[in-house]
Amino acid sequence: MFASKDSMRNHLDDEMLSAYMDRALPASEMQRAQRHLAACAECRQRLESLQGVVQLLHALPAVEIPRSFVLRPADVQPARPSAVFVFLRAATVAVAMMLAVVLAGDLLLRQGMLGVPAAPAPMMERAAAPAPATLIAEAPAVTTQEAVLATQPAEAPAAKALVPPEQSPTEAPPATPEAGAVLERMAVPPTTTEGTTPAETPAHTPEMMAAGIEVTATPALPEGTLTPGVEVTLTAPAVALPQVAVAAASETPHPEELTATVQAKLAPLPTPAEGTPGASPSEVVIAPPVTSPDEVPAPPGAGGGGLGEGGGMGGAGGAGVAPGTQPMGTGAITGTVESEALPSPTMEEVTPIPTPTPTDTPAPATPTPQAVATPTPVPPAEASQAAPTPAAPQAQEPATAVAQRAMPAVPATPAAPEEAPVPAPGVTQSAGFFNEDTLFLIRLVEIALALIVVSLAGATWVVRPRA
Amino acid sequence: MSPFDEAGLIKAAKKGNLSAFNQLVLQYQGFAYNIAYRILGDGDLAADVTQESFIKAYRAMDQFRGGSFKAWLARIVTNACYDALRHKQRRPADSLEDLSVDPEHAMRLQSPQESPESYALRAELSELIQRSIDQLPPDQRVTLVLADIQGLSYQEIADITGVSLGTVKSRLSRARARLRDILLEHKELLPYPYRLSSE
Repeated sequence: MFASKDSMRNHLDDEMLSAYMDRALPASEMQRAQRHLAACAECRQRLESLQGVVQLLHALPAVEIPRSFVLRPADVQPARPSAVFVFLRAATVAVAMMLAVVLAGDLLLRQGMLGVPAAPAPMMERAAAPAPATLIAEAPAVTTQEAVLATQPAEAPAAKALVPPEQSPTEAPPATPEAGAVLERMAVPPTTTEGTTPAETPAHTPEMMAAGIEVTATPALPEGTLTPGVEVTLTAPAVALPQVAVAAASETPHPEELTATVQAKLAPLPTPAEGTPGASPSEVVIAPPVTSPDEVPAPPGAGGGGLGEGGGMGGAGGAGVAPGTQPMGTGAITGTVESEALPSPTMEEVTPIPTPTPTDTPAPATPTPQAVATPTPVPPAEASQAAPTPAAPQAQEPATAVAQRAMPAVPATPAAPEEAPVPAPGVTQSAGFFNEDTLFLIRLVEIALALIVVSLAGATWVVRPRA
Repeated sequence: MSPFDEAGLIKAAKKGNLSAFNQLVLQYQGFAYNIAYRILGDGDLAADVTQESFIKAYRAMDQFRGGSFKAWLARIVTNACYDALRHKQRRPADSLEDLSVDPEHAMRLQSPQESPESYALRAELSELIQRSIDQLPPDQRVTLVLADIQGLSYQEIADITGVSLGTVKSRLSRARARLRDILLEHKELLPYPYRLSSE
């Protein structure tokens, strides 16, 4: 038969024979195998050999158990996680919490920054309000760090100048009527104020100097960046502090002694606070070093004011003369500064510091300022060189104008919006605790923590107790 | 009422009743140990694996979803044997050559009425078979032990080893064929009734 010839030619393989032996073939396969085996002696012999192996295996005696495997209670105690696992798990949780804290802090930092410039308009109005001496600091672009610093109410007594390079709020403090010198300066964001030049160099006009305002210029910062290169040394008091008075008083017996009270007001009611040390917890007295009269080109009436406590209205301190308005200014901070200056103005020059660091932290009741940034009298020419901001020459003219206006000692003259900030010849590099480097560092820390968390989690998973 | 209420013992063991689980241990410890012994070819190692398997089974009782407890236990034992084999392979000092079968141990249960010749012959044969099994790849070895020594069905083996029926069939046929070839190399050692045909 053809079928038998076909089955004869195709021998059964071992798998088919094995399954045939176990009767595990389908019915059709079983019949075909049976037909082939009936006709093929070779396949029959192979099948018998396989069957012999199976018989041998079946004949193997069951081995006796060497002992009883009954479990004792101690055998089935819950597996205690190893010390390594416990440590890794704890470390994972700890580092994850650290990462969460850092991330939360970073987030709050940035949200605080964005929230600062939220109320620029009211500040402007307040600046225009009649006040003996008004220092309006417009912060077009306040960084997050500044905002955070400003929102820290703790450092109320200590005047901290923590305006990072990014900060550009400026307003010259007009002298009080008594002082006879009014310095008005306002740095307004280009979007809100006309006549304001973006990225203007901070003006360190004599009035400002007399008022004790430190203007910071960042030398190598390009225009248009977040750091316009202008800074005002000021403090960022708590939002809860409605008014902060900074009185800059000179301890020196020189006739050029200058006592200026810089009051940064952010409260709706601009109460002029006299620069009396210890008058209020929020008062900060700064006694800037007295320079020789000839060195100070400031008008006689310019009140020497210590850098004011920044009007910390949710943001950086408002007392400042850094007109570095930025195109992308998002807001402004207005601070009212009342400067009570003596006829002889005192100029406080601070050598520009490349790296921002916290500066003034004067004690409330101490007339002597504790300016971290070493106030170094700088000749006007030298100071001009120290202000490398490209926009410095452009703003020089407004500075003069403002100085001239300040000469008559107009009391309580609100700063006009068109009065552009004047770059100062000598600027102080205010230190910002949160600068770009710090942000970058935070980023690095976040990334590092994340990597550590992932690594620890992986290691914990590897050493996890297995059932 | 059956003397061995497996379902009730399983139910109690799932609740953490160690006494109930130990009843199951007493019932299946020979089965589990023989699987381990034939797969591993080492009495001590098989004992350790068996004990470990029962501990694992007790802790995993809540994962037992019914069905054949014997097959479920066999799966735990074979997995433990796989782990032991892998661990053994990482340690060349414990090569398979050192795992000689202990005839005394393997033949302990034999009837005392057996003649000394028969006993010696069977002991020798048993050792030969075990050495031959030890030369099989682990997958084939496990399948051969479960099928031809423990007598489990293809489906049970598929469930235990987690492979398809076809794979079981293929592994088993290869294991048998290879074992046949190994035994044919020592044909003179085989007792006459078990002389395999080489033709």
